[in-house]
Amino acid sequence: MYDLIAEIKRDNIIQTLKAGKRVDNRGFDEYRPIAVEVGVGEKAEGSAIVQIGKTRVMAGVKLAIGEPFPDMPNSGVLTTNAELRPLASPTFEKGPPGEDTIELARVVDRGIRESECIDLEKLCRVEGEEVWIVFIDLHILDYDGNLFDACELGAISALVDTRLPKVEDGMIIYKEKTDERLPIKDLPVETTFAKIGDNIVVDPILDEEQVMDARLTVAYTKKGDICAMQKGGVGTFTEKEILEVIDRGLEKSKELRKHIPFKEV
Amino acid sequence: MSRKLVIPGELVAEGDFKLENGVYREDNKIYSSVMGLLDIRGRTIRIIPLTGKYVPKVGDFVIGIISDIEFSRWYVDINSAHSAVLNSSDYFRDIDPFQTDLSKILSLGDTIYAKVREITPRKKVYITMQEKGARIIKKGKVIEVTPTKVPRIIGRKGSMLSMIKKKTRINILVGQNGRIWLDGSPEQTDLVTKAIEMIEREAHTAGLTDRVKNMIISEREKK
Repeated sequence: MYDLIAEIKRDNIIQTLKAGKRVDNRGFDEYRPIAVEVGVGEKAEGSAIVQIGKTRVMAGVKLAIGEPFPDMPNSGVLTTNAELRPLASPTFEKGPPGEDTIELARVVDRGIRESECIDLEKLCRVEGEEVWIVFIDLHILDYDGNLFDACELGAISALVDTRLPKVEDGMIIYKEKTDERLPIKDLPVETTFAKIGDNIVVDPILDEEQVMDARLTVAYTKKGDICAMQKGGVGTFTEKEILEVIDRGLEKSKELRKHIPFKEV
Repeated sequence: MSRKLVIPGELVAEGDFKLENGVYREDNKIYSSVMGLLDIRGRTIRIIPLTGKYVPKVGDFVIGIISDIEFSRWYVDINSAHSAVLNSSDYFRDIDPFQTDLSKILSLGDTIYAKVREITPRKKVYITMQEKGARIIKKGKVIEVTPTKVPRIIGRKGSMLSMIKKKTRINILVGQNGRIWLDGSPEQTDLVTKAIEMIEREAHTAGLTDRVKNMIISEREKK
């Protein structure tokens, strides 16, 4: 993305961290204020807008009926797509998805898929012939760092919000929603830590992302198991640091999960 | 003096007026083209926008970041749609690019305080450092605000700025492009950042200078 950052800004961020503070006066383990709103898109089966500080992400879930993959005839299909809207940042351009877009979509997808939060087998309608296909679309509306956590939170909130449309004679009537919901088994969340110098901080803002050496995203299930990981940036983490990030992230994941509007049935 | 908040497309007046920023005429009716505060003075109408990007103006001092270097000029990011050019002949002293490597003087990511010298009809912006006050910024902190709020941060005849400077004893340079440079102790810098955030948030309200002053005094007493 955008790699030009004023030298004095870089110095300022590093010096502030050395003094044990962050540029926006947060703690090292503190998220920015988080807000989740569901049911924002009328035409989607499920939708959510997630705001973490100034980062804003909209997630939508669309459902379609289609054929399953031949090797998994009794399982529904899940696809995730992300789009970095040019209105979100001067550095986002329209056109075919770039490296960052694809990474974002895949990391969110991995968190959802590997936690098995959707019971895909229950999305099978006729084995080998007809299954539900779940499309998760992520739109970045405002970019101020930490898209991974915001997108994962948005995706899972939209999935929780999803209501299946009515089906008549194999045709979907999108205008009529039933009260049936997706079979949600788990609520995965992702936490992202950035390594800047010798300090590791959670939920980096854009300025911090521009000066960070490396970042590590870890996805957790409700039980606290790790279901996905992604490391980015040119820097490195030591083994000790990775274990530390995992422990700190686990605590944060419990906090994030409270924002998902999920009611136990 | 209370000003009305208008939204784009709103009918603001009818009749013979002189139009300035943010309004357009259709037949005899005058509409707003931006969201902002309506300001009618005599027969002139303008709208003070609430938000917006910086549009360069000749004579403005701006804080820019070197974003590209060519043989005889630097490209400078000035937080605007138009990136600015600093020719080697516009540096403090005249540099001969055949003799000197420009990146040794100003390298990528360096911050400068310079003046807009010329804007061509095709919106190419030239800035210059051969001006009193122009300088290279080596330390401190740069914060960004909405450029439309900059006049409020300076205040009428610089009243707000001189008040903040007097109360906190900190170096401040305000770029018209919405970048503000602060240099002082970390505590004072935080305090001024807070004051500027307050001005940005409450820019459209009256009696702001006094409230900012009270805020700074009460914050200092807390410590």
